[in-house]
Amino acid sequence: MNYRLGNLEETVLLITMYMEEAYGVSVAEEYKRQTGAGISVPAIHTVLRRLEDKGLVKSKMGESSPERGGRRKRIYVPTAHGFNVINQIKSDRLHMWSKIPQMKLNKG
Amino acid sequence: MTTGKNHTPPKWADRFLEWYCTAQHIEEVQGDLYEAFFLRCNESGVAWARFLFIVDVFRSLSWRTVSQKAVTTNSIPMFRNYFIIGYRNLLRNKVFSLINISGLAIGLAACFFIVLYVRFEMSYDRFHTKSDRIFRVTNYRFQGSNSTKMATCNPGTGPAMKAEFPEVTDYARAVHQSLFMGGVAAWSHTDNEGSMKVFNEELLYDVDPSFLTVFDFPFVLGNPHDVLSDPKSVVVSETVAKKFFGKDNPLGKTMVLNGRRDFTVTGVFKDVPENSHIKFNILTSYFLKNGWDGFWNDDWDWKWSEFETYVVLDNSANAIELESKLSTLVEKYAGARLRGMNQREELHLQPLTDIHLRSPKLTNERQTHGSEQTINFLMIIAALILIIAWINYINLSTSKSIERAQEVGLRKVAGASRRQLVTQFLLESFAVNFLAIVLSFVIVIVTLPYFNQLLEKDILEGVQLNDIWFWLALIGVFVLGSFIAGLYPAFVLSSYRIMNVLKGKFFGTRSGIALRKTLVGFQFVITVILMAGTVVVFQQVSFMRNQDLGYSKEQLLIIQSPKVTDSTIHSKGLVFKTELLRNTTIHNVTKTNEIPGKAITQMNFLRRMDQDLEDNFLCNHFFMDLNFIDTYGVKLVAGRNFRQGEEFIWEESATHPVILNEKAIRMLGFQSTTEAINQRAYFGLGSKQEWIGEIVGITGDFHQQSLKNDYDPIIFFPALDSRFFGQYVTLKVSTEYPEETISFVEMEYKKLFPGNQFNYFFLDDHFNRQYAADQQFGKIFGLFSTLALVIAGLGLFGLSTFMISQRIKEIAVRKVLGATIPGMIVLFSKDFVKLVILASFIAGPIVYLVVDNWLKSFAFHVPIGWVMFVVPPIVLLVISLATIAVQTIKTGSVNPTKSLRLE
Repeated sequence: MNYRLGNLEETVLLITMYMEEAYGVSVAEEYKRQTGAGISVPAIHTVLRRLEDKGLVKSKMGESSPERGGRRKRIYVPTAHGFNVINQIKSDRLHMWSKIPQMKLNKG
Repeated sequence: MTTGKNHTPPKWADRFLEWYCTAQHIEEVQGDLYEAFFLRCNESGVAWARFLFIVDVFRSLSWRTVSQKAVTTNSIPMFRNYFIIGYRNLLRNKVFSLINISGLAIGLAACFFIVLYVRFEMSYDRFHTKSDRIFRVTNYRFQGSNSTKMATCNPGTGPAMKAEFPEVTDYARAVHQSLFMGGVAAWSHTDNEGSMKVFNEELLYDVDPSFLTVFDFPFVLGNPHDVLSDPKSVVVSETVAKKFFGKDNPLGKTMVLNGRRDFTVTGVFKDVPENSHIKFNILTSYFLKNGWDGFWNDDWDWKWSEFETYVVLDNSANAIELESKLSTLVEKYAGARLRGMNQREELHLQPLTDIHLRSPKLTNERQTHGSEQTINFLMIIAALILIIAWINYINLSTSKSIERAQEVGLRKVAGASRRQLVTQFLLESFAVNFLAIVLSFVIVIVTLPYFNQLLEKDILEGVQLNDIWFWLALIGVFVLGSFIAGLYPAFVLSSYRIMNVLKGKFFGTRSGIALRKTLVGFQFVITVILMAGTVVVFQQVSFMRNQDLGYSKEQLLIIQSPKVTDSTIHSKGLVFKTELLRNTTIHNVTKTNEIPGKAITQMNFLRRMDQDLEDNFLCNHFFMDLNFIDTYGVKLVAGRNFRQGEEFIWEESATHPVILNEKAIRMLGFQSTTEAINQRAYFGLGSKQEWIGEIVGITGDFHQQSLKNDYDPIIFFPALDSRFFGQYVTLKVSTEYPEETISFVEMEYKKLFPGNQFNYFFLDDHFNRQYAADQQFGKIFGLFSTLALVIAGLGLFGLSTFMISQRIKEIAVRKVLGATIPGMIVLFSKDFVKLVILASFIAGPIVYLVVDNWLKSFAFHVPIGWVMFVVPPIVLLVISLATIAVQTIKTGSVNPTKSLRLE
């Protein structure tokens, strides 16, 4: 299974997992809240589209609102495949974490 | 979020986003960017939010979001279509397009030339780093009602100014060699092998060493700061160095002045650029340092106004303020002496960069300067030519627009908006203008050498081609021109009513025809003015060349007197004269210290015995032997010539026989020549004052200088053949065998005066050289007026071609009904004839004003006659009639059935 994801892609995918309405602006806000680093909306768009291309998320059109100039949102939700991939990544990581000797961790 | 709603993201960025973004992504992208924008408005302020919005719009550009529409939008094939149609239109009417483009190109090229020339003229003396702080000190002298304004001033002025005023940081004086050598200076150099080279050099100045630091004439060899510190040093131009030393290193070589004084070459400077008001080939500092071998004592410091003086002011100095303080300087150093002579002097500061174009009329100028008036005239001509060219474009394209009416109609039917049509025609105008500009560059590059030849100057020398303003101005003119010229046709074309056009009911609007007529009339006015100007300039120049000068200037051969001389010179001179007269082709020989063709530099006061000091006026001095009057054919209106043995005796108590010209007699206040003859007058000469002269003869007035100047008062002194050589020997030669005569004279000269360069010229050439600038102006004026005429003619041709082609059927019908071709020519040319007549009446007063103003700068000028008012309209009339006649005959000689069958 190919689950090679970039750091940013992984983070964004994770965000879509738990956010109620994941779209450009909300993901950017959440990213900033979680990592402390700002990111531009177009950058998030690019990542989301890439994730959609890879079949990790799917999108549907949402509600429009006045502050969006009457434009609707594109809401991204993870696919099952997306969930599997993120899960796989997590377990791989955990497996690697378990290999670190306790001593080393303490020193950290 | 509600607070942010009062603000909006930048409209243009938003529009841009809407334009490029695909429908698929617009909802997401625009919505998100809006939302982010309002968030940021609250968080970090509107300005920052707006800025980030713009950034985000551009960041959102990606292959995915950008629609095909934006990349290959409809407007690109549309633009392509415009170009194709425009191109086909150009090709379809080849003659028409050629006229249009070449007319514009010629106009633009003429403009470029004038701009280049004007920039050259304005670049004078600006290459010195301190050019804005250098001033020339000029000296105005007043006595009674007479005033003399001199470009030079007393030798004491410069040093005194530096001593008295702290804002004067440095001064430099330069004195032309004619003051201390007279005429020319002969320089010689003997090389190691003993062979000697001799060259006469006129452009020799003796300067203060500071001259080279005040100005920045670039040096090839030697340091300008110290090359002239030794009085025995000389610096030469690259050309002179090459002439004397060839490829050898000139430094340390010895050059001998007039066979008497040795100088060592210490530096070589680049040839003085064309755009310098002072031109020199050799500089020394000997005479200013040594005071003419001690001849010049302090007594002269404030009496000898012959020194070009330049001062440098420091950055903060105010020139006007300084100028007002100069009167105290004159008072302090020369006040008492001037009052004693009843004279008054003023010193003025003239900015260095004003010298070439804005000098008042000053005596003692070594160079003829340009004139601002000429520059202004040329600029006006340039503008007029450009206007004519653009009017042509407007006229030709609007009249042609009728042909394209159907295209416009079809485009409109297909949904073209008016703006699109305007864009299309403006674009076409830009393309045509661009072609014209390229063509004009080609014309300029190809013809520049001829133009330089005409001007006898390399006008590119003063023009920095890397000057950004020059190119910006060029682009500005191009854009503005294309826009103005294209706008009207574009609006006319785009305003056609579809229904009328497609029904074929289109005949051009009345107002359009009126406008076109006005424009053509305007062209005619300009053309008439320019032609009249040309006529006058040529009339004036030929008048000046052919006017009776008061002597016969033909067949007079002038030789410069030898400069390298010894004690035997005068006896040799006598031999020379008798030897020359033996030749039958030489009718007469005279030795003088002046010749006509340039201002006399030696002058002093003159007044009647019974007059007061304030009636003094300056009178030119002229030393001559007995043969001058015969040789030149000067009229002797009263009294007698000098007698054999009469000579100016340097004895104060004596009464000196003198001859005056009529002008001097008038200025002395005599009513008639008979009243004046044998009367006495006081005159000044040299450092001694008040010699007494007895008027033994009176000559008619003659033109010592060009006809720009009035007659000069002249006092003649006698000189003995055996004790006087003068500066020039004039030979009256016969018209036969001129070459043999010259080589004979040269042989005699070389035999008697070895070591001197043989320089000769004919007086008429020499005299006419004074008109070089006027002739040049005439040629340039003529050239550009011709160009204007050609452009206007082209326009007329195009317009009439078109007009006739619109009336092919009318002509056919008229012919069928029995009209003759001459009758039709009359009919069709009526409008143009009316226009020409109207234009002539409008141009008349303008011509009168301009011409009158221009002619006033000449003391002797042609009267304003009918020629300049009548000839240009006739020329214009002939050209327009011929054009229309040709077109009418061409169309009218076709069988009417042919033209009528077309429907």
